[in-house]
Amino acid sequence: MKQSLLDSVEYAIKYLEKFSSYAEARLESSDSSGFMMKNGLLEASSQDSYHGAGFRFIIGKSLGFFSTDNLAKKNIKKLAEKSIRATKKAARLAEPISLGDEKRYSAKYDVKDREKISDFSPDRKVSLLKEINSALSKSAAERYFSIHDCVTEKYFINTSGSRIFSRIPRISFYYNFSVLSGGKSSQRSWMYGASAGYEILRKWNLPETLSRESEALLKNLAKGVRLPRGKVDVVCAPEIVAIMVHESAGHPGEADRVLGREAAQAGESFMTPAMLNTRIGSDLVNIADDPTIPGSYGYYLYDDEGVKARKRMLIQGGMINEFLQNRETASFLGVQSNGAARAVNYSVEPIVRMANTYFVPGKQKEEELIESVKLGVYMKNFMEWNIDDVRLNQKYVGAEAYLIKNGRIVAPVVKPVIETTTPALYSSVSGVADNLEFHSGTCGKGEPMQAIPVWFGGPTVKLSKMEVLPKAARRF
Amino acid sequence: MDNEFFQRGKEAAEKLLYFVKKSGADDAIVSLLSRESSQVKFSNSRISNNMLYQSSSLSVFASFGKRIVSTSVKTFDNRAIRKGADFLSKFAACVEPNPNYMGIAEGPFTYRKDSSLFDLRVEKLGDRIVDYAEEGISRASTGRVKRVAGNAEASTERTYLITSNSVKCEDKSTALYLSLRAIIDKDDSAHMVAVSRNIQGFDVSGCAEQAASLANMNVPVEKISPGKYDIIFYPLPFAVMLDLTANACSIFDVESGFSFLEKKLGRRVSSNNFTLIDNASKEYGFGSGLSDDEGVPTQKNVLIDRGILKTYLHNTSTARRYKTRTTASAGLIAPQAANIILSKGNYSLDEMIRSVRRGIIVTNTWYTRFQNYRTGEFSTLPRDKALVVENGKIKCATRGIRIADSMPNLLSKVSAIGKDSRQILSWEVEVPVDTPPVLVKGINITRPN
Repeated sequence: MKQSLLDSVEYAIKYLEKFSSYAEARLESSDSSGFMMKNGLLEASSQDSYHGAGFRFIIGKSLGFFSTDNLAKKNIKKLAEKSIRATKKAARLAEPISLGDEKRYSAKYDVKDREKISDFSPDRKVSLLKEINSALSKSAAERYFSIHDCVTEKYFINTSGSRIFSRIPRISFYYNFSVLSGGKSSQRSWMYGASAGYEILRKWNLPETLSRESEALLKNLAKGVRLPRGKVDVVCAPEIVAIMVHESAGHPGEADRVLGREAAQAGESFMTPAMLNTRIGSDLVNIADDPTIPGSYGYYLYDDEGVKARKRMLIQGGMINEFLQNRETASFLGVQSNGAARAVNYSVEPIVRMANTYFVPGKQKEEELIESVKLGVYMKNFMEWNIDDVRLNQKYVGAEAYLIKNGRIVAPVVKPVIETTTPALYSSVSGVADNLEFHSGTCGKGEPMQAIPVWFGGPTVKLSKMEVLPKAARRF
Repeated sequence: MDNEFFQRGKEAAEKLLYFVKKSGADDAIVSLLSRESSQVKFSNSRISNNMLYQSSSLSVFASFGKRIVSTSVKTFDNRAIRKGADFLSKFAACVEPNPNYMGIAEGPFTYRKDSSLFDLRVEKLGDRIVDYAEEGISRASTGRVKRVAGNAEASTERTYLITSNSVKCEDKSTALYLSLRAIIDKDDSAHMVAVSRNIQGFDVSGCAEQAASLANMNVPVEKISPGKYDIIFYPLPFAVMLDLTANACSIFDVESGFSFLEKKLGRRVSSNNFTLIDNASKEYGFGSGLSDDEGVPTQKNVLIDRGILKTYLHNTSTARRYKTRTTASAGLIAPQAANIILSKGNYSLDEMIRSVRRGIIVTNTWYTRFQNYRTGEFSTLPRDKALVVENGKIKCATRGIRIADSMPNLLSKVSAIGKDSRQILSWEVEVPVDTPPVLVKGINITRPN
């Protein structure tokens, strides 16, 4: 990071300190590239870079924020003056804010990218996309892929004396493909992401993974059967469990939603502070969020308020245990921040976010869970899903799914639908396997929209006696 | 907005275009975008943060023998510009040509004068955006409304676009936006938005009072059974449906498997009272502008004319490939809608309600997701007030339901369109939409047992 940029934010903090009781800056510099292929043709190749800084300060009890990519000191001073004026004016109706007390940190950390992003040439990325396209071209009629990487350096500084430098490389791969059979179609959209270098490609094994998925969807279209009506056991593979915990444990556990601060954007939460230490599911349900998992897509060691990150147990033994907190919500609720403040980049305010949310694995084997089912469904992955804005009413539609009879997978099932509520979902958990897997996503929240990288994960989990709607109206 | 800084950006853009052409590009587009906005967020009827955003970007798109590349330049100094141009030609040598790429528009073009998109009073608004937030909170805090949450924003944007094909377009616009939710409790609320290009059209009081009035509608709450219902969509949720429909008109989405309108050109895709337009040349349009991303003057495109799909959205390259004309919808890679309009109908909201035997008034939706983009199967969750209509009258409110149907079915069952339109931009509506309320017959409703 250039010294002139560092000098600019130091200058800004000194300037803001004259007027405010607290000020902080996040200076960020990022280099990125993206490649997109559609039906075998390279449609877009980009390499970009940016730098900029976001500044937050408290005057009286009012919070102010400004950001810019023009880090000339003259410009920063002009913006600061403008922002201070507006913040003072807003004081008459401002929510009195306190950020509580936090430790001061001096730290520097980075993620080692063994195969460096900067060394991985554009033609190698294009070759990868071509290889994936080739693997899919026989089974998938439409194929859309994009690969994106970035290396982000961040410098956090505040008037309490914290100075934190980080460097995080991230790689992500998004795809959507369609398979067609007998006048019907099925689609798969998913992504991979990690904080890593290009060595991660070996682990993802994308050509083989996507090829297997498309073959399975084709088989599902051609040979899928409908489910019998009534309540059945559902064995959810890690991908399904991952999205479930993200939507119905992570989001409702965000303290800013609990306190109504996201009410006009991402919504509120059915959870209230009074629900802490109350039961939400069976005692097999343990759900955590941990930003410090090495290599994770949501990785960080210090959040965007300079608070040291730690693992948070959101649900423990079926009881609501802890909310995700930033300094403001923690101070309001009389607890300490657990380091959940994140901003998608320098230009926007940090808000309460998940990082890597997962269902804590148990001791059973996936096969044992399947073997324990007399009649049910095994859902491997999904396509459609959603959940209401207080995080109670949710739906997951299986893409690749199978009928289980007498403990054995016997046939593909067409689009089984789970439509349930959060307490019903977690109360139905009757078995937890040991095969923890993480998946990647881009989580949306805030206004302006902050689409932030996260992992979500879990092992295979058995849900007992769930209403599963058979989507298909006839046998194939 | 800093005029001197923008002028420096323009000079940098000219130099960048010169150097990119010199390095061997067949086509090049350089665009400068400067934006400054003030935002006040409020929740629990108090202002929670005051924000000021400033950004400028200088980006370049180029083709070297059908090798398509793009990059951005961080600073406006000569060194950075030359470095950016050099990088681009080297970068192009590393990627593959796209035989489908057919070039960019040939200029020069003449652009219309449109004073409706800029209001100097918005540019000079300063901290008076706080007043709008206060006015919204105050006007919505009536009756049973316990809390008000939302966001007020004022922004100014300047763009400068030049290309290797003699295009030069400079544009300037302002925007005002209010999103406001009047809350009685977590299960009982109403949400409205107001957007305008100028101070005069920014109806903060109207937006807040309508949200409060809807929230204050005190009717019993009843659980309803899953099944088919007639749905009266308020403009806010129907804008989501129209945004998705216009997206599906992009030729890029059609080719990628993201569209339910594949192979439907010239065919019926909706009921015959339904005419959908994308018109970024419309005065006061929240998505209007002088040109698209390759500098073609914006125009009115009738996407669906009385139920018949008339065109996909194209840029110059895709249009040449399909032997048609650009719709001025670049998106350099993916053509896109800019300012979506549903033609008004003749019905008042009351008339629609009176015509419904068994239905639901949906005032907002949330988390719309496709099961299959090609078939258009989707579901979405009504959010805020949802009112049950029986025999032409509002009977009660309901909660916990989900709309689960398909876009082709929904569009084919549009039975009445309102006569009063509203411009919408919201959390789930990324492209501005101008729509009245709409009645759709026989839509599938589900709920968890």
